[in-house]
Amino acid sequence: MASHGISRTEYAASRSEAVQEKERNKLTEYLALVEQTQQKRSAGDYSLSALELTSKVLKLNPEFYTMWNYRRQILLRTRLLPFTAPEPPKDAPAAPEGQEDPAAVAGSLRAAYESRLALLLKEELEFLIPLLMSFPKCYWIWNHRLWALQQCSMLLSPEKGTKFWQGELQLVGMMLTRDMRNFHGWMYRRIVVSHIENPVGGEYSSLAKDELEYTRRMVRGVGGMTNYSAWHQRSVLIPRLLEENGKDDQERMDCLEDELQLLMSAIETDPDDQSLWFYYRWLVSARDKSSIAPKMPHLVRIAMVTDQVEWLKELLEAHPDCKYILKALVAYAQLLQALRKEPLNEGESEDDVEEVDEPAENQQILGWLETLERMDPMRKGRYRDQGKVIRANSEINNTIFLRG
Amino acid sequence: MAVAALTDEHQLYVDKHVAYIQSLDTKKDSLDYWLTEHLRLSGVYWGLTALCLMKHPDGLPRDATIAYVKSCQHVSGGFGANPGHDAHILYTVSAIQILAIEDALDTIDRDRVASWIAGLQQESGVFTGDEWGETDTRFLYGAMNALSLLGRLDAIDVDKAIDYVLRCQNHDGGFGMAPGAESHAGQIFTCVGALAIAGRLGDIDADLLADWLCERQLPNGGLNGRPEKLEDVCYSWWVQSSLAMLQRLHWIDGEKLAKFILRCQDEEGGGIADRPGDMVDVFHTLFGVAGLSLLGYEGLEEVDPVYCMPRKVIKKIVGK
Repeated sequence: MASHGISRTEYAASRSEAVQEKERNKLTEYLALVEQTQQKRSAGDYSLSALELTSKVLKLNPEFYTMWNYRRQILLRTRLLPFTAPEPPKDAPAAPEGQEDPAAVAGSLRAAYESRLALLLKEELEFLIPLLMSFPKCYWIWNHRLWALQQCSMLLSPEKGTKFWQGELQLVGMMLTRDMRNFHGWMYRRIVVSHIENPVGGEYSSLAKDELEYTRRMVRGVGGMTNYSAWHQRSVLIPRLLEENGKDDQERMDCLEDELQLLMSAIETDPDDQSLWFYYRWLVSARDKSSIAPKMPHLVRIAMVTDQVEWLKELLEAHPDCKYILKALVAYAQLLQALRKEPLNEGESEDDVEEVDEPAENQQILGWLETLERMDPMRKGRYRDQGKVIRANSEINNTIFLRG
Repeated sequence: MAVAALTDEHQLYVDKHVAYIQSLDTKKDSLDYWLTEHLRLSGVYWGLTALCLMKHPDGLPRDATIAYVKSCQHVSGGFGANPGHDAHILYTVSAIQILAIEDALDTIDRDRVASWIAGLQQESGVFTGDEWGETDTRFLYGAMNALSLLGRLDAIDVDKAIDYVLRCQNHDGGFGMAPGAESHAGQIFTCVGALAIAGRLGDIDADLLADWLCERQLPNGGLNGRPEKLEDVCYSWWVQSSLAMLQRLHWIDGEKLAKFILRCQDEEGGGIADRPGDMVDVFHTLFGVAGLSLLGYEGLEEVDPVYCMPRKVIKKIVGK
């Protein structure tokens, strides 16, 4: 919305008579411009002078989506016409010696068409840059840029088209440096990367490794640890990279170990950073086919979660007021209980599963939940629900025990 | 959860907000009026719904409102944001919502609208916003919202749409605008809403998602839309309605949130802003009031968490 984050008092103070006068003039100018443009459209005018008018309107108001539509309609009828090879005259005799071969003529015409078109497309993309800088959260500008790039893919040779897409990585890199959480920017980056990976008429070539390195630089940069967008992107890229490189189970476990180390040291630096904890939860508890090590042997998994619970208990001693540590302890202590009840893998022995006093463990979890209720009263309903489930389950277990 | 026992300092200035909404269409000499022309029809939906929730359902002139909505319709069946603006799913949904509230759906050709919307569905199940091809889970939700109000969900492949929604779910339980996109409370609302309309809420892990959602509440009571971001009144709606659909509204502190929303009011000029002290607009006014309604704030009409419309309208039309 137009008024996101604009202070009322600052706005009121800025409303001098001079400012209001200036605004009235701007309004008159804007309305005249819009009317003129809409009239041209109603009259079916798809000329370059109409294109110029859409530029003027969109610079003043890039949210005017109908103007973007009109602009595209004009471009498709003027600057972005597909190449048409000149038709050879019917029954033309073979080119006599000394004259150019028609195929060669068509080829050079095609080359001239492409050079001219590349310039026009570049011009269109350049028109959008200052708009993106001023309105980085406007859907329609990002959308129009993607449309223009799609025209590059359709109208230019595959090499030229791909070059345009590659150029976008620099732009989006700059946009994400200016605002590292802009979700339009991140979405745009994924789309651009996917186009570069799948060039028209070419073979798939993955950028997952480079992109993962990009997120690593992001989270390691100043203020980067708290960049949930970058952590999210890692959760998408890592499984894809492992899959593409055909990594075996051991390599996958090594990868998980490295990623866990990265997170544990980040959490030790700032245990109150929420971004880290959601990503950490994925590392510790995900077991579906899109997780890092889905086939980890059962006993290894139990050992890994046990280690994490121990690490969390130590961390809690250093940060007794950090609710995220307690929340994680509740989650992974329960995960361990569930894991212990699952059937073992072939070759694993029951003897290797540690005997635990589950009722006592439940008491400890309920204790953590009570602490959380006091520490984080806004979410007490959440903690109470968790406690209710534990109590209800232990009641069921007791009943079974008594009946047995 | 009734939030009634708030002091004078924390009251909802209904009369001011009603007057503010009613004044919006009289500001045609302001630049802002014209720079927001591209979302006028949605503005009418936001204003009308806010008025209904504040028990002023006749706050806008009914006949003129219906006539205005119809003046935004194209021959194709879709609606633009204002006369002369192209058809788009966002404004088509607003048009259908307004007509539903005004009990005037019979004044349009439902089949024509339904077939225009159905034509936007793609092979993957998602919807484009219009003929230009942008896709987003917002558009998918909008299509399901409008078609269910029109009683024409059969015009699309609901299973395919839901498969797409599920592909947008992330490891944190949330949803993004496309598969692989970061979780965002606004997109979560649209995806959970689509699941609710299709009767498929059972397909997701409610505890996981609701945990992410309840962590959106910040110490000042307001809600943000993603981890480590600022609070904003509109998330009072996106986050809360999602929690309500998941039956876990009690996972956040309703009273603190109500106080935050009330602090965002402009006590003099009416309207609600994104944060205390900021400029108000009709978008945040609706989502603030709707947020308070979900919290059971005294004196407000009940809001439907799936549609963001008066509950009684939805009960009558959708029957659930």
